[in-house]
Amino acid sequence: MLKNYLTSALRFLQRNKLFAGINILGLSLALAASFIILLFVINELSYNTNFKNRKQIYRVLEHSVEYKRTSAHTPYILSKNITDEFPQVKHVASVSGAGRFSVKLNDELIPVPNAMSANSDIFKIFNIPFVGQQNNILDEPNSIVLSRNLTQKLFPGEDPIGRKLITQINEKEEIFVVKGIFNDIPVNSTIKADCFFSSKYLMKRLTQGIKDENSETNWHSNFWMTWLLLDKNANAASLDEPFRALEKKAFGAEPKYNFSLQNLSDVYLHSQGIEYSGLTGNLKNIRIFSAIALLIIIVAAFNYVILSTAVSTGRTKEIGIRKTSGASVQSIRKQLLNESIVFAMLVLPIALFLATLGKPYAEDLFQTKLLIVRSNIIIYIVVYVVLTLTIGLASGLYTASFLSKLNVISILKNSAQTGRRKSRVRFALIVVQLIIFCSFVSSTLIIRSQYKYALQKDPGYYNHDILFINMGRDQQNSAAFINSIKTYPNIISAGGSLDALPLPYQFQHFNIEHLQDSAKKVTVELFGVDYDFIETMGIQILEGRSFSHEFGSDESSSFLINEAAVKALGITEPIGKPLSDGKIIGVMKDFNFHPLYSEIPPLIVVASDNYVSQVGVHYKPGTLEDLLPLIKSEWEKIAPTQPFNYKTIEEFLKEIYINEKNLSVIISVFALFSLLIASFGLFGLTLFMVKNQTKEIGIKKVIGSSEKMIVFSFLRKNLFMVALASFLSIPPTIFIMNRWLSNFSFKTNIEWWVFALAFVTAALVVLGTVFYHSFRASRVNPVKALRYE
Amino acid sequence: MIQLKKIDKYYDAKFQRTFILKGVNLEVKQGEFVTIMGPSGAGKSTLLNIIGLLDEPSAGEYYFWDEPAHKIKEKQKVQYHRSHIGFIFQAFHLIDELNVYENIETPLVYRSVKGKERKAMVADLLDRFNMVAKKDLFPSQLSGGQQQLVAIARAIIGSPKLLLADEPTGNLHSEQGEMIMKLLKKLNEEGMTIIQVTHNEDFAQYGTRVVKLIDGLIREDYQVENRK
Repeated sequence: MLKNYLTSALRFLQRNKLFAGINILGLSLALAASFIILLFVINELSYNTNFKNRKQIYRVLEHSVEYKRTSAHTPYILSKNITDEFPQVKHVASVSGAGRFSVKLNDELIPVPNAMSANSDIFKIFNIPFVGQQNNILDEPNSIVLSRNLTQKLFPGEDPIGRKLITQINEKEEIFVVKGIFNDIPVNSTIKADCFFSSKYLMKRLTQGIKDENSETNWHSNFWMTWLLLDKNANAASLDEPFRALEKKAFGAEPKYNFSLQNLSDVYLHSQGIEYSGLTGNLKNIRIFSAIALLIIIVAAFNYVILSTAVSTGRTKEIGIRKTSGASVQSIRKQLLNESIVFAMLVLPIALFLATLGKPYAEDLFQTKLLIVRSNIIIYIVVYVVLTLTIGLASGLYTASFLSKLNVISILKNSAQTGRRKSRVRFALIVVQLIIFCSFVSSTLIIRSQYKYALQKDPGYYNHDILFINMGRDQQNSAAFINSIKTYPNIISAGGSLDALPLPYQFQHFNIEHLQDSAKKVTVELFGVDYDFIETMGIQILEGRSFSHEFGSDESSSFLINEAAVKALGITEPIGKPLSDGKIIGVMKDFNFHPLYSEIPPLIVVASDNYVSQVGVHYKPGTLEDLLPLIKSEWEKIAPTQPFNYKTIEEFLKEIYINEKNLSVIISVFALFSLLIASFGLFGLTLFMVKNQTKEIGIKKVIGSSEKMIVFSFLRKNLFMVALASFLSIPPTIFIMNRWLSNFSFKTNIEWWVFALAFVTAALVVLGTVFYHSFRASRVNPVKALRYE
Repeated sequence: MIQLKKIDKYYDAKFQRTFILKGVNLEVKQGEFVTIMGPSGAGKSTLLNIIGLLDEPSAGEYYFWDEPAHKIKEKQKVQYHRSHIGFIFQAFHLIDELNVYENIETPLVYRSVKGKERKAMVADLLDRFNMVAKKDLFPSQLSGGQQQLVAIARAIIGSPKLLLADEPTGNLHSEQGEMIMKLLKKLNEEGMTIIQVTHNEDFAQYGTRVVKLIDGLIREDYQVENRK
């Protein structure tokens, strides 16, 4: 029976090549797009799922009560305390990255990107099998365990255990002894390691490096992630009380820090706001991309329904005959359903092929590597096949139930009506497709205009003609450098600061008492600049004065504060008021210290020539090209070995808002996709309608209708459709975009032209598609058209 | 075999009821070859469709093989179509996407006859109709007469008790028409009950009985005397 169904279906497709082609193209494009998105989504969601005991694996977070910040970095001594005092914890390990790590082999330096420092329990916590001494393998300070992959790279075909390994850690040579080999950790894991070396070694280095004599026992020396494996019978809440006790022991009677646990399953996707969280995913992006994939799929599935119900009038005869031959409604329905599923499965390989072609472009677009993770392969296959089957099933369901119900007699009399009701459904489906497209277009435009706004909004300082030069760390000669470049006539002013503006991260915080209510603490941010930075950036002083050498004593005891700080601290007549351990000398107009995502915080600016790690240069418009070689030559005088790193403020702003730009590009690409797919459908549908109306057109022409009127009647109906769709797309777009815009504290308004442009684009494409066929039909000779009957 | 009692078929439009069939009484016995004749719009095809369980009467009773056919459900109708009734049409109505062999095979597929058996049955019929060489051709590659042959083959492959033919020769020229009529007669002589609708007086002579229908009423009903 299946064979009989298949042959008739395949031959029908063969005979209706255009229909089949359009449908295959649309469906495979949509599937390919969603396959790529799904690859990304599955990879993101599968993070850390390879660890079978992940329900018992936790990491310790440290929350600062004072500054309301949570960090994944904890002191080394924490793990020892947990081992000693927490019976419900089976294993604990302190883990830290090693910085730049390379292996020296035959005088060649081989970089090792993920070298981790840890203690032996790490293998037990994550249940990583390894060869070598099963207990305390990392106890000796010079012990190292390599991954299989790294072993293969360094010692192909040899047994490395017991061999000496010469390494370079942050440019310092060290010798380790290889103690074992562990099985590679799946790539979609938070813990990424090519090798683990003893934490004792790193501890030694830390003690020397930051001159922290007791970093092993210091409760404030937070350089380590603490991972632990909980006993099967214990739950995370049972650690609350012991943690409270431990905090008291470590930080005193009123501890300013709290410890808490985060399960491994939450680490990758639910670590927003946790500092030093390591590699994390973006749940918001996953949601946005999944929604896009879903919408694209809807467009394609609707296409299938629209085209197959339209073209299926050609198949009604077959259905009628089958019914007289003894086919029941169920068997017809089953046949049509089978067909659409088979059809979707035929599309699957094409979609996979297209997805492979599109993957590199998608990687550019998503700015990540779309890896095919081996442990996920079964998930990919299942998801892809299920998705394809679902599309086939969903789109076949309507067609099948519609066609199977048609009346046999009217079919056989050749008068089977495609029917009012049906064309109304078709109309609705097309409108939904167009709504999706219009929403994509207007969303892209809104995101773009927010991006433009972010670049162009007056931040309260110059956002053009400013150059930032990166001084690197510990540049001793910055003052000399600034003085020497200031002499160029095309440079209006130059000044140094701790970092370039706007600052994409939160800077140093501290709490100051509210002036009227000393019980209330106000968190302010602190920023350091030299004497000329404020003037160079064009930050306005509303009251008082800026830093100046004329007054001699400005360094570290004179403060500039912004309006927000005046308000937050409740200061009246600020000039000359004492604040903390200095006094206020001026009030700055509020400026966007941070990118537009956040409000302007209360800010205190202090002056010192010692803070300079970025130099801002304000130059005369249009002179940058001539200036750069001059500045570079000055740079080479003070730092001949360091690279000359610079960027204009425009470049810097673009860098900051790169996510917005990428998102707008991604959505516009998918807008194009949805339009392409929908217009394929429309093309096929119009072709079919025109064919069916040949007689009507012929009669109209005989009665005296002009060609123009015939074309116009086609266009009018479609124009109405586009207008309706673009109108209906407005509320959901505004709703979603308002939510997106709420990420910003400073944002553009959603303007009407965004929707107008979406309408115009849709109208152009739709009418263009329809025009071609209707024009051709209108030219038809009425005699021919009427003979068609 | 077939018993129609006071069959009405009408359509209601606003304030007017249009009758297609009005009080039709008809009995057809097994082995008969009945020709329904009459002018266009007399209700011939409607009557045939009601007999073939494709359409339902608006009023009246219809007994098919002593079963009250006006009461049976869709499922059972499907069963009758599978095993008791074969159809042929003026426009042949072959499935364009299937070739001769596959077209003939279709009813057997719905009766879940096994592949091997199907092959044998179709081969038999093809042989009988001298169409073995054409079994891989598609309907569009055949002449009208050949298409109708295939349609007949398809209608009778399930050896139905009743064959319904709606103007089977309407689209054929006279020579082909005659060939088809001879075939139908032969089938009738082998025991198949046939009801056909035709305009052609000559072709009515191949049957055993003529029913004349005018404006939904049976006006004449007589046995054919000089059967061809």
